[in-house]
Amino acid sequence: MPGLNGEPEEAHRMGIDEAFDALQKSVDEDIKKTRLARGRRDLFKEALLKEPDVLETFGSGSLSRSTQLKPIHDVDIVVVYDPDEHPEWGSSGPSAEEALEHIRSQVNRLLSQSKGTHATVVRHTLLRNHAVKCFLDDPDDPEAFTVDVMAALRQPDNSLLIPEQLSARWVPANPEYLINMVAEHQRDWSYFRPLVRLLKQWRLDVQVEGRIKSLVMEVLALQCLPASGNRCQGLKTFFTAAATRVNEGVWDPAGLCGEIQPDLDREGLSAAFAEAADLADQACTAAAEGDTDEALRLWQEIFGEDFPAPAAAPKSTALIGAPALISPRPIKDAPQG
Amino acid sequence: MTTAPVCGARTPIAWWECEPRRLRRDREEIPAHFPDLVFSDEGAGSWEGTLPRWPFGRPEPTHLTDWIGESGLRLRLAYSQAYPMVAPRIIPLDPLPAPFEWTQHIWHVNGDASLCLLQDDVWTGRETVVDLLLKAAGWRIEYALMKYQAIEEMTGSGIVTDHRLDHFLAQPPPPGDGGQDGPAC
Repeated sequence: MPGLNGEPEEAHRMGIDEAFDALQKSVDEDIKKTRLARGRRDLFKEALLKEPDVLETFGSGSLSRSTQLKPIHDVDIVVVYDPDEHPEWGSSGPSAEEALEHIRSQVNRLLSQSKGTHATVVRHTLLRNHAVKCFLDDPDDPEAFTVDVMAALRQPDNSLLIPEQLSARWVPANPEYLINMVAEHQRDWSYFRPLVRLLKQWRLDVQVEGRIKSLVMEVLALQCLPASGNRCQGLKTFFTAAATRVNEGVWDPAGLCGEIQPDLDREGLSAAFAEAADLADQACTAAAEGDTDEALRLWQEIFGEDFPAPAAAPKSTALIGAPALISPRPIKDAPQG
Repeated sequence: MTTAPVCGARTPIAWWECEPRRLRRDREEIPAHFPDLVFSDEGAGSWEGTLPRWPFGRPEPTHLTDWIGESGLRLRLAYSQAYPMVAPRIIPLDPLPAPFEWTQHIWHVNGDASLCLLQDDVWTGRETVVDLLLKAAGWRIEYALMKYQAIEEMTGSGIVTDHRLDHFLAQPPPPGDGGQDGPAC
């Protein structure tokens, strides 16, 4: 049965929670594809862990933190090597590139499509600055799935040294710190990871100069999303806090890698956060006053068409003696004096 | 010998030094909608020029030019240093409301001869100035309707999206009342 004013009934029945669930569904990767990506990652981890000079392997990147956006094109793994097997590694000089070449030869031997001894999945490999990119599909396919394998040496403080080919150096990093922080926030608040994915998607439509790195949003989420409450209040809190916080720059939370994106348009992103905070505030107010439709429309203004909301109600005919408007109105038809 | 600094003396900071992005936004949005307005950075800054006679979304009524002429409102939009927290003033230059109209609510003109386009706390600082200028364009048409005594008071919210006065403009104005220079009250 159609709903009021000829709109689909579901638009009227849908509450704010259900609308957020629908948005989440549009952002999250299909579970089968996520499992496939994890399976491919685990195949690399298992294969490399059997090597005599490897102490441990673990996943890093957004998939390891469950904050990945779709489509999943690549996964990252870290291979921690035994320093006794590679005494030259960790020092400035050619050893950074040598470590990457070492990974490449191991991957070819273990996993290459023609002669892999563990599996036959890798079609091509490329040396990148910090990792070896392993193509499981045709490298010319823009959707090609890749596994980025990074070499590392464990340090006494549990952080890592990773090779940097371009500078011929080994640089500090601590990907596990971020993984643990995200997991901790998630333990406190089950909405955390899903909302990080929503915010990473939100950033793609923000009007800023240049792009916004996904890690910038993730670190801001760690700093500005609350650890309790509902999604609406959490997002309102986030946008409000992040509008100020981003002005200080977004830095590696482990304190090792410095500013995550030095060329970030802080001013533009701050303005976008402030605008979203304003809309989120209005949406929370509308919801508190029982105007669910208006709240949905405001959230849609923030998150775009993937957020379901009913169409705006048609303008009612002006009535003599109608009560004065008390809610904020667009300037162009706001009361004048 | 150096002169001791005067207690309390400070260098004035223009609003656009604090809000460069806002200035950039205005300088993109306003010319895009109202190409005949010219920006001046004198003082706190202003825009001056003539608005289109019908910058609204719906078709222009057939006899609009008989009511207001070919041109829209000529005005000056004046920023204050409190902008964008405080809305800019819009001062009509042609037609110029008579002083007795400045003090009567029905004309929507403030006591300083600027237009009274917003009531209450509608302006939060994030709205676009374009919407204010659209309201000013609508004010000019309602002003003509007042001058011709087609209406007894202006609408409460302007005519940007409200077509209830359009039917007047579909007909020529009544003869003999003198339009904008005619009797007002």
